[in-house]
Amino acid sequence: MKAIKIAGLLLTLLTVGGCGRIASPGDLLHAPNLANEEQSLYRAVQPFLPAGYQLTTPDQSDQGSAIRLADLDGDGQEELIVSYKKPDTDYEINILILSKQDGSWKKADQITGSGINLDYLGIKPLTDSTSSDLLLGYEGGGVGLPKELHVYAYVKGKMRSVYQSSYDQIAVGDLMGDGLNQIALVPPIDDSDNSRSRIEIIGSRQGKLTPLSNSRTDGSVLNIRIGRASAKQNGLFAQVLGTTRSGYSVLLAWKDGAFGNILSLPPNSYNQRSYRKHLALGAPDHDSDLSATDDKWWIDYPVDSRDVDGDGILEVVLPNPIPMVSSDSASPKLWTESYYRWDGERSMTFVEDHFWQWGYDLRIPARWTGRYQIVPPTNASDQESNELRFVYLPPSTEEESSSTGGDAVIKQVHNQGQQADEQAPLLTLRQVPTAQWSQLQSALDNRASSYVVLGGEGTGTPLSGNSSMVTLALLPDGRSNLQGEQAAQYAELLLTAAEVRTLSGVDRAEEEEAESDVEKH
Amino acid sequence: MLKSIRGRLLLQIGLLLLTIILLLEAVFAAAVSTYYFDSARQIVQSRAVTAATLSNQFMEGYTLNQRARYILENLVPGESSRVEVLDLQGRTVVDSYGFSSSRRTRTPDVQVAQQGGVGSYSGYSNAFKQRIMAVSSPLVSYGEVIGTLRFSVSTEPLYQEVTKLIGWSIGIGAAMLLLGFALSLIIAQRIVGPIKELTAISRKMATGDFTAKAVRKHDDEVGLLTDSLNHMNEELSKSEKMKNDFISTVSHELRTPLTSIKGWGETLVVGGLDDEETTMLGLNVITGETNRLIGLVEDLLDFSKYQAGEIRMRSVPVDLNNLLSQLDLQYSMASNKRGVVLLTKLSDVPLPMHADLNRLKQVFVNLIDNAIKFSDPNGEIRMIAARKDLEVHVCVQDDGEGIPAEDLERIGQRFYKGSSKMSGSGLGLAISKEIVRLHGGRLKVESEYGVGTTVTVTLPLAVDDSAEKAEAEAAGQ
Repeated sequence: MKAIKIAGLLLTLLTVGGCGRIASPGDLLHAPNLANEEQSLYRAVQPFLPAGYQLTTPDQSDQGSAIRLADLDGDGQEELIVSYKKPDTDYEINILILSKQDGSWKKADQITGSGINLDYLGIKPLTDSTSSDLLLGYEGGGVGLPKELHVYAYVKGKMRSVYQSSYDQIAVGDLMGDGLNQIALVPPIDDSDNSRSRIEIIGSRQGKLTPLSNSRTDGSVLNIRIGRASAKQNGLFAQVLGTTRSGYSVLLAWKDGAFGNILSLPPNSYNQRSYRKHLALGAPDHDSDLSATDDKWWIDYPVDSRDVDGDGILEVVLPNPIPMVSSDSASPKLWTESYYRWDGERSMTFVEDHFWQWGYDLRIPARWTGRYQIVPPTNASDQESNELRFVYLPPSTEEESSSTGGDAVIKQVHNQGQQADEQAPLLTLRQVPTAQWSQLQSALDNRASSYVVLGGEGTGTPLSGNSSMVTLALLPDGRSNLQGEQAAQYAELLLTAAEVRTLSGVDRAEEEEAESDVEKH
Repeated sequence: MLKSIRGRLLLQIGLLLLTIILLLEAVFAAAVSTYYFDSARQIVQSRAVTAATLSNQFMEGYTLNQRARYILENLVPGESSRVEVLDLQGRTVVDSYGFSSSRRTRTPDVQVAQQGGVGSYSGYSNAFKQRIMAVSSPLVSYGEVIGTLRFSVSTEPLYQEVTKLIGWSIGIGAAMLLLGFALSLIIAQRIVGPIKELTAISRKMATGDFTAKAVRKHDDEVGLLTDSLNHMNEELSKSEKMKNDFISTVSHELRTPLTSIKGWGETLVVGGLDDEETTMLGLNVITGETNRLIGLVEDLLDFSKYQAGEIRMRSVPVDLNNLLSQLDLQYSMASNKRGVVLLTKLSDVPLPMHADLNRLKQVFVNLIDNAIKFSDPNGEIRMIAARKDLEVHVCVQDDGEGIPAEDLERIGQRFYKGSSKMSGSGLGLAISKEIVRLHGGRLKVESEYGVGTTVTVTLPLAVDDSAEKAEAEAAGQ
């Protein structure tokens, strides 16, 4: 009995001693420690910030951190720049600059700007290639209200305002190739009745920031950005939505000692666009009024330029209507987006064709050019699943005579529309609800022909907005009623599943997984 | 070890305890880790989903950068998770410390969130060099995923806590195991101790030490064993005593006739054979005493045969009345020295039975002799036979000194002679009892001290046809 008492005592001791300190899961949670450098920076700024501060980040920036390191004065020693808001003042943005002196961070200067948010923060060399200037764009609040750009130079440990302007859109980059950056602004429209906006380029002239160029347009400017335009130089890309035709793309570049619009496309070049060949450009348009000439890179809808082939050079988009089987004029036009790269001189090189459907970006293989047409989606007949087919377009005897332009090709397609169903399929895109997918999958697995899941099944590209649908690319079985030369040509056009994966970018997403800079499980 | 009760007990209790404790430990460990990790995930998930839902509801149409900024500026003070806004490529737009990064995060939770679901992940993070748990929720604008809101926490404290708790439980389990061992040792001691004592005592007894006595300590099985051991010891000592008594009695019985034989022999040798009368008397005495010795030895032989079960009854159909009337005749004709008279009352009805008449005669002779021996001189003894259903009761009564009550119980046991100083081997009654038993009957001794003794022999009657036939014939005549 004594032993039992002792045991009881022991148990009580254990319970009281060991389990009295049990922590609840919620108490134990804390953020994982930061990577070393970030942690030391985060710690370093704490003493200089007021109680209740909120870190804030710019909408646009070359680097989106609220705490960042940059060498402002070019002495090889980096300064620490922190953007934050105070809890008690709504219309105040604070920028704190810390410099390292004798191994510890000291407050160098503080800029307090008025605005509700930081629209832009950039640290770029503007007047001197050895030191950087701080560009701050304050947002006044509300869409359409002008924003304020302040440029500061860091001189002798203090920030000095060197330029100031209001703007609507901003892009900063090295346009002139001299190691300095220029600022491209779309100033706010002063007169609300007149929606013509300008593109202003501000750069250094004799050590002072002054406007270098001013291009007037006849519409509103969209998507300005500075990027690599050719192998040799940068350019300013933008689209202008005009009042007359749909709109046009602009590429402003430093050419022959002045800024000019490279994309002056003569009409006969423009009409060659359906052949996906190189397009010859006219002389750069140096006129300060961009609307003065009609030689333009006309676009039917605004598409931002992008680096489609991954060579670091931005390609300009030219929407091209796709030959369609249906003669029904009510059905919406489908477009391919043809990407062209500037060669630096007077020519635009065709890069590739892209086709967008259901959020998927499908590259059209080069060998298909002029040899296919599309059976558009027929939503009415089948609500559950959408289908879009690429079919073989046999070469026509009229082809030579239709060399006048793309419209002729379309006309010719219309003539053949009636036979669409008998035509040989090249590729079918189909979108089915996820609920039907598993059923369909087993049916497809039993069939001889292969298919590629583009997305929606959990492996898809993040571009898919509608996650309840599965998108498929179905490959034909290769049989057709074609004869002779046409059959041979058709066989050449057929794709393999691997090709479809490459064209649709599915495998690119997988490749990215292998990158070393990716945190994976 | 396994040859002792203690070893088996320890092993069995130990195994049982170990199994139970291991089972409980496993259940406990599973429950604790599930509780900690599930709760933590739920906490993080509810925060992530709430934050993402708020952002999705009130910031539709804003760019990811603007939403990231809003989330950063409106973090709950003392937010315990690391909050990250990731773009579609998994790059950190901004985290809760204000940093952005081009390092890409593509853990499964982020991938699920990019598909529009809420994903969770736990595993080792190379970036933080520790195990983390992360929950990602999609940031949606106009039905399209534009980025991911990711809440991550370090799971190291959870692992530590769970490890600590499991450690404690293992400690408690080990303590329980030790305690169980100690308790079973005590229990084993309690069982084995008395048994060892008994073993020692029984060993002592085996060596012939009948003074050894086991002490009954507990009222249990061992107590019972103690009792029966003590009882056995008593019986052993009794039979030992009886043996000794017997030897002395037999020696005495043998010596008495031998003494008189020796006396007469010497007298004859010394006195010569002149006086024929005296010589004849002496020879008669020697012969008589020799007969007594022979009878004594025969009794002993008989008895040992009965004991060994070697005697077999040669049963033949007889009428007991014949035997009884023969005895009556024998004793009435040759009246004995003490002048005791035998009165016989026989049954009118025949007493048919299967029996060995010689043996039965031995029984009745013994009984009658005893009765004569213990009767007063010139007294009378009665022999009464009566049939009762299928049994016959034959009583031999005397009016002698009787048997004291304390002896009565043991009368008939071999070598027991009672307290009287009468001569005899003490075997007669035991042999008689054995013979009666072999005939399927019983022998009962009733006595009142100072009044007399009645010995009743009850024998079963045969219902054989021959007897009935004889009866029927007699009736027919």
